[in-house]
Amino acid sequence: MKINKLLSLILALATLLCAVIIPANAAEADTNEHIEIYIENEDISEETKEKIIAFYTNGGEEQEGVATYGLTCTLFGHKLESTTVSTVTHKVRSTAPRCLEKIYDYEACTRCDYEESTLKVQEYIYCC
Amino acid sequence: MALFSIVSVANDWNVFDFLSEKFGSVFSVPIEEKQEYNGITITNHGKNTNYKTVEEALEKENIDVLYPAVLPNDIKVTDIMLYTQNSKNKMAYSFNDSDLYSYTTFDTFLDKSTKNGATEIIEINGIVCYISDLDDTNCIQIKFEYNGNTYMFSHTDKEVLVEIIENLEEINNEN
Repeated sequence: MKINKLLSLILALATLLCAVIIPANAAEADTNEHIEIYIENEDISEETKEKIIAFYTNGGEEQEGVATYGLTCTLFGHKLESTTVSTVTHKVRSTAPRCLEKIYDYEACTRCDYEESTLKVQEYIYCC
Repeated sequence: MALFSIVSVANDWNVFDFLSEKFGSVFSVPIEEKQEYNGITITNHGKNTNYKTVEEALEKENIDVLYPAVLPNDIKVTDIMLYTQNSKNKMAYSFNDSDLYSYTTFDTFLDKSTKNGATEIIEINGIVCYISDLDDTNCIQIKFEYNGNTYMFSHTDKEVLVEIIENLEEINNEN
């Protein structure tokens, strides 16, 4: 009987513990983060725009000139396009201001896969 | 050369584009690269100009704004970027402290969300500052309005931010 009472107590405590953990996990799972990307320079090529979207949707952070140089770029230098890029990652925080905005200085070569991104500003903003 | 010219005209080639592609920097406009410089670089919508100090940069570029004249903990301004975001003209300082961020939005006022959501409101040198202490992100943001512009400074240390704001000085190119 004593063992049964002990087992019942352990079971009750275990159930109570789970009841505390699950809501916390549920709150974490409710962030529903998604990212928006804004490209300021409308004159850059469609190819560079696609590079930018791919870079920042893949979680691109600051990157210093990583690339495999094409032969033309090795001989004559990069053919660069540059723009300011702003990203907004929504619902990063559980309370307002919930969203994180970042401003980057971005440049890329139109002939090879060189690209460089420098974070200039970040701010938590009232968006969602 | 004459034959080449005739052929290029007949095929609607642009001679200079062709030569630029083949002989690169000899014919093309030099690509402006950011140089290592022991001063301040202002990037104005992609164009870089170097100056000795922040004050000189802002005066020469004719920008009326508050600037950080004294910075604690050996923090220095490394460059300034002028840019446009959502049709608003802005200016961002970069520092040699990766936790410190600052930008100015010209010709605008603080939104109600920032004012109402502040965790603390203080006055520094007569300027009302709205502080958001985002302790879950280890980030403190301070925003304020001054002379028709809004300013944002953020860092992990509130004392650093207060010291920076206490020592802001004004560039007024009309004087």
